Amino acid sequence: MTCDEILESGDDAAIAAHVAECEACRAIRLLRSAPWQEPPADAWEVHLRRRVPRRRTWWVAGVAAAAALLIAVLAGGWAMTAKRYQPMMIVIYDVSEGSPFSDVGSSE
Amino acid sequence: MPTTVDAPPVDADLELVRRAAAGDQEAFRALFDRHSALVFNVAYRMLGNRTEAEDLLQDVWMVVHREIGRFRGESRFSTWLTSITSNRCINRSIQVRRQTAHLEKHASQTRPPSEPGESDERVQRVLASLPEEARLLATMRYVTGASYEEIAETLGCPLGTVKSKMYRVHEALRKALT
Repeated sequence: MTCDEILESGDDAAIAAHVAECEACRAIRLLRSAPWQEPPADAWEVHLRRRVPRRRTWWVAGVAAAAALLIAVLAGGWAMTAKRYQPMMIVIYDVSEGSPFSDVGSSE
Repeated sequence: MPTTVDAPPVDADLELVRRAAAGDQEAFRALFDRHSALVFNVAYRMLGNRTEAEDLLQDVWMVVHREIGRFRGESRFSTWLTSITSNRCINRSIQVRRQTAHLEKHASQTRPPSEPGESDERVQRVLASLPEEARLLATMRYVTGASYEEIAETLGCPLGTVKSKMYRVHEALRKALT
């Protein structure tokens, strides 16, 4: 029988007899009695929490895109109605002078 | 018997792993809470120093975070975790052994004063007298209470190989106390 098998046999007399003679078993019993160490309580908060990124939530990206689109629409609408920018956005020509495109295609 | 924590339920681990792999930080935190003691104890017994063990604890969990998408659930999460821990412990232990006497002295000076009692000192002395692989096997078998099958799975070697290696560990332990 190996040391492990004897130690796990539950036979106290056999264990005592074996351990009295076996240096390895004394070491094994010492290791098995080793106190369980508690990891540092702040390991997560101090060292890991900031290094582990949160999940990329698609709804955040969706809300951001919708907000950007809304802002673009509002800005565009405002620009269309603002007198200052109207000349830049709408070509207004005087009908009495004829269409500015009437000469298109003419050789003269 | 060692005062080990009870092993967390495997199914719950798998669910947490699935969520953590999808980016759920709370699930990852839950895995950390369940298994950090195992990682810390293996690291502490392998390296013999709380400061080193704390550093290794962080390193291991950063690796877990990076690689968790590759965990397929073919083994227990704790086995996969111990495998990462043991690899890093052996590498770190070899580095520490190669360091100069000055650095070793500095490491012992920075050890928190509340650390080991007499029996803990004896445990560390016995473990420190073993070569890296034997120390890892002794830690896994006797400190964390892993079975031969679990050790074989963790190290990725046949059960027979683990048994023959454990025989050599016993021989090394026999000499450690004499």
